[in-house]
Amino acid sequence: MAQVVLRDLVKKFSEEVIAVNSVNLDIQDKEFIVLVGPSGCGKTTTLRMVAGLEDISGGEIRIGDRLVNDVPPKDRNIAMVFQNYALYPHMTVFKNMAFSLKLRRTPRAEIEQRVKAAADILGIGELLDRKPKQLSGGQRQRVAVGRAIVRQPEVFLFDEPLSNLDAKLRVNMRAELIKLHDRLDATMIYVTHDQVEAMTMGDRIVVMRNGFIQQVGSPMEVYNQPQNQFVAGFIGSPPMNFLEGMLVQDNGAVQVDVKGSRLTLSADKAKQVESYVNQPVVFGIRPEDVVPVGSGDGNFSEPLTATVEVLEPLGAEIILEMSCKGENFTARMDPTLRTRMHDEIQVSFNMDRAHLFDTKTEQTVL
Amino acid sequence: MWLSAQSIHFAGVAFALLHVLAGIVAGQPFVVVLGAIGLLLAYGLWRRSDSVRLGSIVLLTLYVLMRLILGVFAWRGAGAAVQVSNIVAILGSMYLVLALGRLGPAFASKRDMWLGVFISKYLPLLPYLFFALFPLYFMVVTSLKTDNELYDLEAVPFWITGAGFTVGNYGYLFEETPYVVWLINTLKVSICATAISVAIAILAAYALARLRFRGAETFGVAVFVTYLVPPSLLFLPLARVVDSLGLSDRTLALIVTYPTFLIPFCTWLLMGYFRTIPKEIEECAMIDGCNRIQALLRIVLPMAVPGIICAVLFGFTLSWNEFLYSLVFISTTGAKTISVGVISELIRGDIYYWGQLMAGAMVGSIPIVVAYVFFMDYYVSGLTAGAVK
Repeated sequence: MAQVVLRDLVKKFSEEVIAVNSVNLDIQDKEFIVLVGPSGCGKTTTLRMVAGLEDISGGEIRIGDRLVNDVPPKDRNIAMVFQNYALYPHMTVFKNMAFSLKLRRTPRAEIEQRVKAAADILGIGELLDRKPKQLSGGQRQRVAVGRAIVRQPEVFLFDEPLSNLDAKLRVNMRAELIKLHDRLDATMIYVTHDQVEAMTMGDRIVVMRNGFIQQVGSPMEVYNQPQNQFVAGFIGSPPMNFLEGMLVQDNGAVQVDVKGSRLTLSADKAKQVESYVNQPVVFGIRPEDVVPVGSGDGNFSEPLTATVEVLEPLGAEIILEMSCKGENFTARMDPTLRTRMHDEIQVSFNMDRAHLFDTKTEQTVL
Repeated sequence: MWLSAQSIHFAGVAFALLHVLAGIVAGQPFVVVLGAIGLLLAYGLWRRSDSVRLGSIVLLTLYVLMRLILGVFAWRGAGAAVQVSNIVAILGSMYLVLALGRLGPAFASKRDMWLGVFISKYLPLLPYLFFALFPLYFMVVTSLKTDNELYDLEAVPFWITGAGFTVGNYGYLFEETPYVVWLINTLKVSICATAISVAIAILAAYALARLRFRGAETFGVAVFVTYLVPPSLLFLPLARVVDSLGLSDRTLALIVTYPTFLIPFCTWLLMGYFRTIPKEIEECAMIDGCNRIQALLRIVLPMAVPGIICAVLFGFTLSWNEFLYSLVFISTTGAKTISVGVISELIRGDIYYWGQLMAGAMVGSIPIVVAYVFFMDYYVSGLTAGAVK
């Protein structure tokens, strides 16, 4: 019932400062969509425009079938959870949650029943008589979410709701919000700068930078087929390795020359990049695609001798910072690997999963 | 450097020595004794023995107080040497108290903790307390004296000898002067002017702090500049205004004119407070279903209570103490406020009814004290706790 459509959305704070630039986005009904990007990329401003908290400089926003450009926030049938929770400090938890219903003159019995129901979902039934200052950070977060649920709005807006929680609580709340979305079956727009949150929570991810949308897609799409170097580097942790090199043709094989090391592309990939031969490119490879020589099947590059600079054993995996001929890159390897700092090991790149980017435009070539 | 441990010890001994010398030169044994005590104390501080130091500090505190009081006394009719010694001793004592504040944190061990706190927190407060409370004390004491006691040059002015005690000044005030009428007038004017000013200031401050509109900043500065125009200039044109409104000689004249300085003041005070209230809370209210006015009344105002109380208290105090407008606009005795009434009725030519004047000031300050005590709890505690993060 409530798809949200953004058409050529623009927000100018002044002639020079354009926070959001011709953003086009179709958010489906019941979709969980995540806006992600570094700070200052326009994601929060976009969300605030959907909420009606910022004037729109250009373009239009539709919620459901209704054009809401000039509709005040209270009439948009939305609920928002703020980064700092924004609880009403002078009201109890119950009153905080009941406030919006009271303003709509909902019957007392119904208010009580809806608040109770929301409190039960979130496990804050015990806290209804407390004031916000008597709650812990996680509890405040729940109240803020509860306040949104009670409304039964068409669209939920979340503005970095987990960024003030500690790491463990954040993981818990993340799972709870996913369950909540499943249960409520409502449209949710979620803003975060944390790409892990984006990957784990979103049906689709919108990667933004400098006010522009960089890519829209499912988490795996964005991860596996980034449309440009920025998206490739922003999504994924540790981030993708970028090595500057030159695309060359040698005896029919197309290779990437990185400081003398030749990385051969498979025949079908070679075809796609023929036009870039003899041009500089950025070679991108994810840490998990840097493997010790001889492991697994696939199309691997020639072995490279690399020195282990830093070793980060994480238990389930090992993160290795390595250097080879002055180029540094990160690898994610199996914890059974026996190696120490300053060791030299033979690694190769999984060329089936290699990416190439145009040096100038940063657009994906392969 | 001037407050380092070494310089403090050196100064302490030097001051005490000077003191002893001054006493010997002036032939005043008690000054010599005090100086000797000071010397001992300074020496005790210099020694690093804990118990000696502890004792020294406690004694020093008493000594400083004693010096301050005796110093003032000994002033009259004393020789030049004693006067010099007094000045030196008083300045020296104050320096030591201030300097010891710096030494406080040096007492690091658990056992010395309270000592450190005492030295660094309370000791430096003593001179302040003295200056803050002494005028009040003097007012009370004077209001309870008979005229005979007041004009007796031999009597000590800081307390009352048994025979000189009277409450008659208060009786005179309530029976022989229209003091009660002035009190009611002052209350009426202060409450009305404050209420009007704070109500208008809340709206103005909210708009200036929160709404984005052209000229908001300029307007904010203009409000401040208005406050800077001295009343001693403003009363001239205001007198004409009051006159042409037909309000001369009526308390209404004050209710109308006090907001001219109260509104800018309260607006600035409240602007600062509104800015500390997180914007998101209000935005959340607007998403929850409030319009601006509802958000202001139901969310922002309850959170701004400490700020508003602050504005009310200051507004009330300013109106209560206002003198110039009251003097200029009111000449009928029955319409006067306390500040003007007391001086116009209790100063006749060059005769000052000191006892009654002080009694009038004393009674006049009670409502302010009551207001402060009553609101202090609200005023101190912030209400935004728990709202964000």
